[in-house]
Amino acid sequence: MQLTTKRQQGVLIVAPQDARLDAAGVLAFKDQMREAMRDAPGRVILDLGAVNFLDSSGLGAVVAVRRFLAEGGVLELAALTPAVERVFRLTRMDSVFTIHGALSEAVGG
Amino acid sequence: MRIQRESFTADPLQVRAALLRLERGPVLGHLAADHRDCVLLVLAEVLNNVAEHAYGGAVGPVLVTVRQGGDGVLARIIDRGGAAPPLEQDGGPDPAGLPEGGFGLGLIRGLARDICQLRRFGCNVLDLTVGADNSR
Repeated sequence: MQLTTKRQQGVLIVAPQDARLDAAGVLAFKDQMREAMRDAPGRVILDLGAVNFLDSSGLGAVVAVRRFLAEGGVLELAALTPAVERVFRLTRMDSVFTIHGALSEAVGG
Repeated sequence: MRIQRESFTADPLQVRAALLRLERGPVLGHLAADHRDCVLLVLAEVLNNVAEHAYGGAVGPVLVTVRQGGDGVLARIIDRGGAAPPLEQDGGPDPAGLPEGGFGLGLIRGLARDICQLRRFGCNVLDLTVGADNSR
């Protein structure tokens, strides 16, 4: 699991580079997210544009990494591919995250 | 008839490898992207359940067969683990509680139909169909 991180306009943007966020990858994802979100500003955007497969383990991991946020921080999502968007919609977890279309919308907004 | 069988050990890395073989295989390789994604998601959830629960923390064998049937893909998953609990109807976890698990069964029930669970000769046999029309 590779993550890239960048800061833009006071926002931390974290982008997993692997195409799969599945049961075999969630421990590494959570470990790397903990590291990436250390000293993060309040707003973190998870750019899922490279992820084309996410199962319930991956969904649980996305929820779990919220606990690495600073006090009062928010985790938002951007650039969901159709397969990933479906998982959020069918589990109704799209109702608890702010989900942006393109990453540019997320950072501009 | 197009058919594909995959036999492997039910652990997360082998589940991932099997799903990748199925994705490119003779049955799923011909599907529209949305339908293929739904079949792979249902199989992932079923196989994750087998890997997590069937062998009580140990690993064991699992056999997956997929074939095209009518407008859907028929899948059969067989393991030799302990008797699987029924895929009962329930609402799944409440999103407002920020659950970190428990989503798998809801995804299976949301995307698959004609779910049939049998216990035969010490094996769990799960049959299900993922229809093209159900690939929302």
